[in-house]
Amino acid sequence: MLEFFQQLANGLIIGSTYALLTIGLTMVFGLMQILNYAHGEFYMLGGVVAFWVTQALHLNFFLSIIVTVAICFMLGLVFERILMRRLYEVPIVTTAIVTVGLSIFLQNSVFMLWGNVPRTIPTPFPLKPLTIGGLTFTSLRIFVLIVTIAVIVFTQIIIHRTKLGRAMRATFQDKDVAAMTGISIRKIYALTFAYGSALAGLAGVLCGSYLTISPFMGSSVTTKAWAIAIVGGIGNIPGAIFGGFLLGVVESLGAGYLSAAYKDAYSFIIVILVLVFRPNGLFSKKEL
Amino acid sequence: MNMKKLPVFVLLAVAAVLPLFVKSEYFMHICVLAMMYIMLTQGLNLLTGYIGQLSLGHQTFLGLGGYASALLAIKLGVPVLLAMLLAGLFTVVCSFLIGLVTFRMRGSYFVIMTTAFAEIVRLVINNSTAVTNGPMGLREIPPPVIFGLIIKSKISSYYFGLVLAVITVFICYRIVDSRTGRAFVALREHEALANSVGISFARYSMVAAVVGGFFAGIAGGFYAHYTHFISTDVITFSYTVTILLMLIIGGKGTIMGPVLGAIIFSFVPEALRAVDNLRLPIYGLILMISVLAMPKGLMPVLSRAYGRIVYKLAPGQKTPAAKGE
Amino acid sequence: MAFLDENRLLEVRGLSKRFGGLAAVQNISFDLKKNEILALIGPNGAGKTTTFNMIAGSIAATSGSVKLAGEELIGKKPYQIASCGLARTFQITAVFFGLSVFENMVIASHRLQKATMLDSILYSKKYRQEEREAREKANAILRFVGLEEMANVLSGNLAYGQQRLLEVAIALATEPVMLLLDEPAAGLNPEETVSLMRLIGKIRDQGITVLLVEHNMRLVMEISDRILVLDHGEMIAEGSPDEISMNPQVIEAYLGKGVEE
Repeated sequence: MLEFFQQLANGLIIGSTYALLTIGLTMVFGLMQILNYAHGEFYMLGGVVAFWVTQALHLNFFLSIIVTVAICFMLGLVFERILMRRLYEVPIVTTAIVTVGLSIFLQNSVFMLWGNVPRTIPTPFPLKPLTIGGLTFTSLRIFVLIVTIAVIVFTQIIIHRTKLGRAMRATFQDKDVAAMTGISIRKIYALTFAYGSALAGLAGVLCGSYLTISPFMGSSVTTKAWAIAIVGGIGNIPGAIFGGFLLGVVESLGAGYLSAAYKDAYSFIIVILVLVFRPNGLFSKKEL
Repeated sequence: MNMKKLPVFVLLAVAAVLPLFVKSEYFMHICVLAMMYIMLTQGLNLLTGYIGQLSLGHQTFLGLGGYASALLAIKLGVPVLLAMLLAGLFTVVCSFLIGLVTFRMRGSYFVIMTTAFAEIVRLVINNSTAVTNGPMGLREIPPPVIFGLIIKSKISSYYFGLVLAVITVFICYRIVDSRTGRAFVALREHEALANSVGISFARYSMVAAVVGGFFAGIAGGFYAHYTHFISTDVITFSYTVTILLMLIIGGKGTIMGPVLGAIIFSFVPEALRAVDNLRLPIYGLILMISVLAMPKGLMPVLSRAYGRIVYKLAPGQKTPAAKGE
Repeated sequence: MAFLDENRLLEVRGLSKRFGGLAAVQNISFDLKKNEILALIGPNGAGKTTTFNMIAGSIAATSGSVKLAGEELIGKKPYQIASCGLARTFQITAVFFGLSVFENMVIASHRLQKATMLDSILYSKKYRQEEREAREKANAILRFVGLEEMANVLSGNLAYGQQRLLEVAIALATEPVMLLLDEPAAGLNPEETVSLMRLIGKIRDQGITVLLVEHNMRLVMEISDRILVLDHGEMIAEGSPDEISMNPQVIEAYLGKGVEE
């Protein structure tokens, strides 16, 4: 029984990073209808940038998180300006190909500059695990969980309590009406994309501190984040959060009790089952 | 023969005599693979080009066909040609079953479903070590034998592939030029209106998927018996990207577009080997820029240019339509 | 062919639709004779379009029955209903915008063609004959609606009024026994409206029964054999144009909300 709870807890920690990743993806899709196959690359860039920041600039772990998130936010703005902006009114086939192209470009550019040696971001946390009620955790993993939950709460506050969030929700409901009330759709799109990229980057730093970083770490998480976004209902943030935790737990328990070989397939099995029985996802669609 | 079909016959004639002029084995190898890509892109074109539903799972049928044909030949000793045909029928059944679930979806939901099935099939093959030899793949797959002739050299494989590719293109062309093909286009252009004239989305998506699945299965068999080896590498995302790229840059929703795309993008990655490390980043850039610059692909551009040439040379001639065939 | 009572080509019985708790259409029943032109009118929000879409199968009815020549349509999908011989147009212009006018027409022959994929691959006699027939029929119908000059034009490039005509032509190419027109005159200028009225008359003369939803009262009064008036989802009157124009309940329903035309 103790092992079950241990797996559950590990799943929740992994799930929290999935949730972070998916929030950005689902916001971008819900608002701009962009099937972004390069989302995972911002996750990868987050890890790579953080590693570089700690090594080259000798910043400490906590400061490097902040710097990385800021850099990813800026990168998001830049990519939105030069690329995404051209995809707002084009068919899904074009969007998919262009973002796949971006993903190949980013992965391999990083590979060329950085090589493929798996690295881990150094952290000041002790390696010795803590024991809480019979369950063991490293303090790093608890830190990861706390940060992700804080950011999720922060995101909800932005969306529901600020003027920017109100504008985002209005745009999501009906962009033509929103534009008439004086909201700058372009600005909302740019900020949403940048924010989504920053969240993906944050997930990359956090995962990169207890897993490893490589130029190709983004590709599998993109499809996972997609699966979660669809399970939760596209554009639905609470759905994305729930879906993220759900997938983390299912992967963790599935690997422990069913088969570790199929760990990467669980997200797809979930999405197929959900779509067969509830074609619009577990939650309603229109709820940013 | 009208002027519209002339370029197709020229291309065919060049393809027929090509081995007489090419002495490089490696070049021939790429040409053989190009034939496989033509079969793949034609099949995907029906669903993604004509009906307009983006599938990221087409390479799954390449893999399934390859494994099925190889296993039939290795484990049961089925003659290779028969094994390839049976593999094609096997992928027809697979695409039918997957279609039953996926064709309830549209747009991005459909895209995710195709990705999901592709990954699941890949993992199942990788983990069914007893039958498929897992990630190591199947080795020593026998070559095809036609009337006692063993198809093993690059040149004989090339002609075998050429025949298969021409049959594929011809059949797809005939399907597209019929009520079935018109139904595909109608669904892409306006689904509700298509329904109102009696065209069912589920039915015609299934037709496109099953025909495409068949040719992908045959292509998989062809590939496995040509390279004598198959692994789940063919079901990875990079294959999907390659096929899609050929389709989109050639010109989806046309018959000759994907053929040109398949030929061009069989050689482009090879040409990029010269720049070694930069190869894949450049590939990614080409992908983005070409799709943004020519969302409809090369075919409309070429078709218009050809129309102008024909018009200059023989003003009375009927020029090919801008959309191309 | 099932027994067909010419007085009841279309039988609508107790047709109702609820959206959530809201009754959009309540218990509507009427018949259509063969060769009749029936107009469905009523103020905005009266449930005309909902009724129309339930008959065409694009909205599922909550309850009730719709029979065309004795065949139940409720529960069928739109493409199956088309195969029963019911054709429709759309409120928001629907043509295959990316294709030429002629290509639009040939697509619409779909349900009449029986050649299989194999016929087409083998270029069989049946296939060739059907293709020829489809092309001939496309031309004939384009002449009928007055679009023959436009056959090779991209339908997205047609003038709005011509697109509305093409929509009718597409519906006719399915050789329907009955045609549903959803606000065919919306957005047309007076001249175009007059020629549309003539066209609807001609369509009826071809033996096709017409049911239309329309706001343009002049058109409705002039061409309809019978008019059904809906208000708040209920049928409040039924009769000839003369009867309807003098019906106090109808006048009330319209004046109460402001006359629309």
